[in-house]
Amino acid sequence: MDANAIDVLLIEDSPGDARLIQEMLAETHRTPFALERVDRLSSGLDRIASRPPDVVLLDLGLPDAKGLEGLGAIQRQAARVPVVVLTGLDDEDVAARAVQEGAQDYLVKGQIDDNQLSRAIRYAIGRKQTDEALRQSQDRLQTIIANTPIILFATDREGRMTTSEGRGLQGIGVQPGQVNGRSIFDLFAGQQDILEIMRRGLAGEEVTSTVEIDGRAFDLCMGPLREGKGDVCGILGVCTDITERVRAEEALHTTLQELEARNQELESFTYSVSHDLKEPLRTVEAFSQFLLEDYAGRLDEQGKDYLHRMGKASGRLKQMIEELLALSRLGRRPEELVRVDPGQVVADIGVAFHTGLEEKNASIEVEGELPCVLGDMSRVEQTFGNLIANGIKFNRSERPLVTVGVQDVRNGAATFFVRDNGIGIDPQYHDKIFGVFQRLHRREEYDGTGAGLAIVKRAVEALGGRVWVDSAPDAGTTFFVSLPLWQEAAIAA
Amino acid sequence: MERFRPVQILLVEDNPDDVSITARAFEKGGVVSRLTVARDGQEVIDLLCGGDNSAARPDLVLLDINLPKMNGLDVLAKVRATSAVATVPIVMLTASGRREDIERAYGLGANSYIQKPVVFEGLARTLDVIGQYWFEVATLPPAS
Amino acid sequence: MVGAQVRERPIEILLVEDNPGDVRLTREALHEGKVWNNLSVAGDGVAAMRFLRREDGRANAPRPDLILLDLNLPKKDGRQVLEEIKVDPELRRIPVVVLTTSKAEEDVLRSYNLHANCYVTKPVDLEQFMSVVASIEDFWLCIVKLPPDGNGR
Repeated sequence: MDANAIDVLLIEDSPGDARLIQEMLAETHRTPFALERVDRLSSGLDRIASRPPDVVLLDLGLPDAKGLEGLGAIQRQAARVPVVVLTGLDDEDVAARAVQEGAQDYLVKGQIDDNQLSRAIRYAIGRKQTDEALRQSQDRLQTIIANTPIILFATDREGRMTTSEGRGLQGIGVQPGQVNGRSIFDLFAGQQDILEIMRRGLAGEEVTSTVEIDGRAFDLCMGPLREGKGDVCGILGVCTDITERVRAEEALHTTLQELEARNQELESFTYSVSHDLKEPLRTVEAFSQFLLEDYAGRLDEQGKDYLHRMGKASGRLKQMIEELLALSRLGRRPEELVRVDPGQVVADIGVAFHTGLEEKNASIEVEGELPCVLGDMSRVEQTFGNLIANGIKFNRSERPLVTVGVQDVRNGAATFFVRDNGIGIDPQYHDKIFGVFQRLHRREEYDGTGAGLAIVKRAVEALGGRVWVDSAPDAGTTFFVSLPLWQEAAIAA
Repeated sequence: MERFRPVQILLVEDNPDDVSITARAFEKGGVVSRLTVARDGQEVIDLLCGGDNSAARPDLVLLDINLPKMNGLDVLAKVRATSAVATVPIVMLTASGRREDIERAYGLGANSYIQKPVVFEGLARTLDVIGQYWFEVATLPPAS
Repeated sequence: MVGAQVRERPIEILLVEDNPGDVRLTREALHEGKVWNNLSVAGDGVAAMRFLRREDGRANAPRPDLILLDLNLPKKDGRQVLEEIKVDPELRRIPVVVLTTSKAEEDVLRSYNLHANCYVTKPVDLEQFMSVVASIEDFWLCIVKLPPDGNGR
């Protein structure tokens, strides 16, 4: 048998009619038909069960099936097999019912020829395949909708629900289809915002909005359904449950607020502690001094030494308090980011350090032009100020030189360098030096509390930049600072 | 350079250590002064606006803002409103550096506003300069 | 190197003085000083008021932070200028140091009554004059907090 032949099962009890069909099918050359004939429904059902044909030609007047019973039986047996109903009667009602009940076509035996029959069979098969494809597609869609956390809904032109599906319905405790037939004006009575949106949809508008239903938040996206001439015949919409996302955002927002509040508290605390600490410190300093002045004569060297040490210690304490204060202020996000010219800052620093530079025969040089950055004056000043000061302080050269320049500019940031010909820093300490009150040298060698670089780090990071160092003992030190570039169209964060 | 009459300074200060520091600073600067101390705003008002004789009228008042009982700016306002002491030079000497306080002080008639240095060294130098300026350079208003 | 003060703008001083010699001396003394300042000069009372009221197209010019005022001025007397300044709501907060030759008690009293912030008698001796100006600078420019301007310094 030809594998390409269309496998036709003819269920026809009248031999004469069967013969007619056989001959008609044999006539056609284009599409070979392989015909098998049975004379009763039961045989037909057996055949279908064992080897489903491509199409069934079903006579309505069978001994074991009256009217359309046979059609129903075949469909129950094999829903995918297309059925063409044959009958001797030209009965429109029956025809309509047959097609309604799933037959692909209805042919009147005396009124067809071989071409029509052949065509009817081919179309029946074709249509059935299309129907199948459509059905599968719908099934897939249905599965998707049923499993996606969305709500798909549609209404008629009066606002009565015609469709309500999707796993999103679970979130509001509704079964798919449960609210079909009910009016949205009842379902959402009291929720003016939703009703307003629905009205707009029914008036022909596409609307996107966020709504709240039964305590859950949804992104709603809907538009009008239109029929033939473009008249609105209902609305179709999809709701996506965004409750979790909204909750997460709110939680994040709350956390940020709390964090900000905590920071403020810490800052106030640090400020008032530092401030309050200064008062008794002042008394200690003052009276140590007075003691020294008034009783110097009566004190021996030891006594004077004690006082001297007290004085120095309170000096250190004072400086540490001030640096802690400065540090706490620097950590906060800058209020207003403006254009800052590092070249100007370095020039100002040069002026401010004038005396110190002269004393040490030191100089500050700027290499090339420094691009403007986005930041705030105070932090940029403190950054360059401390780096330059360090470059001069930790320096045994005859002519200490600090050079400031720009290393590179890319990705919206400028990397500056502050290079000195000083004593250098051993690589094993390159991280440690940024700690608060971290010192690498004995106090007799180099003075200072060690907070300078901590201040630089805090200031730079508050502006969104980074600082790092390249150095080796006796080989000078270069600090690198990256800061966001000032760009004309830049918007302060 | 000592003056031929001791200048009267009214210091408004509730911290006894700071009183000592201040007294000593003026002594040392060669300003022979009689230092009267008021410990809170109300005492100042009683001393200055009490309708008493002009012998109590100081040559200079050093006034803090954060005082117990009464805000220093309110004291300033009251003193300026009292004709007997309306021209007494009042130098605000206070920890506050707030713009609003500075503006208000000048507006109410403070002669100058100084933010009190927290550290001893700064405070000592400030007091030196105050003494030197007001008692050696400036001409104080006459008693009447 | 914590908290180094980098000043954003000079302190604006208005000297109201008609004696060119005194003007020159004052300018020199202030120029040598430690604090960055800019000295403007008005030679008479009328010019002084015009300057303060920012007339003559100076609407955006910075107001003086400190005024040094001589009492004996042509066109409008210094006492008059003092009164007008201390009555004007926009000008009265500016500290006015009366810097004048008169030692007369009535001038001193009157000046303080008109709310001058301070009265300083100008020494005749050159060195003493320079020293007085240096003192004024020490006090008013270094120690004192001058009233904030509109731009918030």
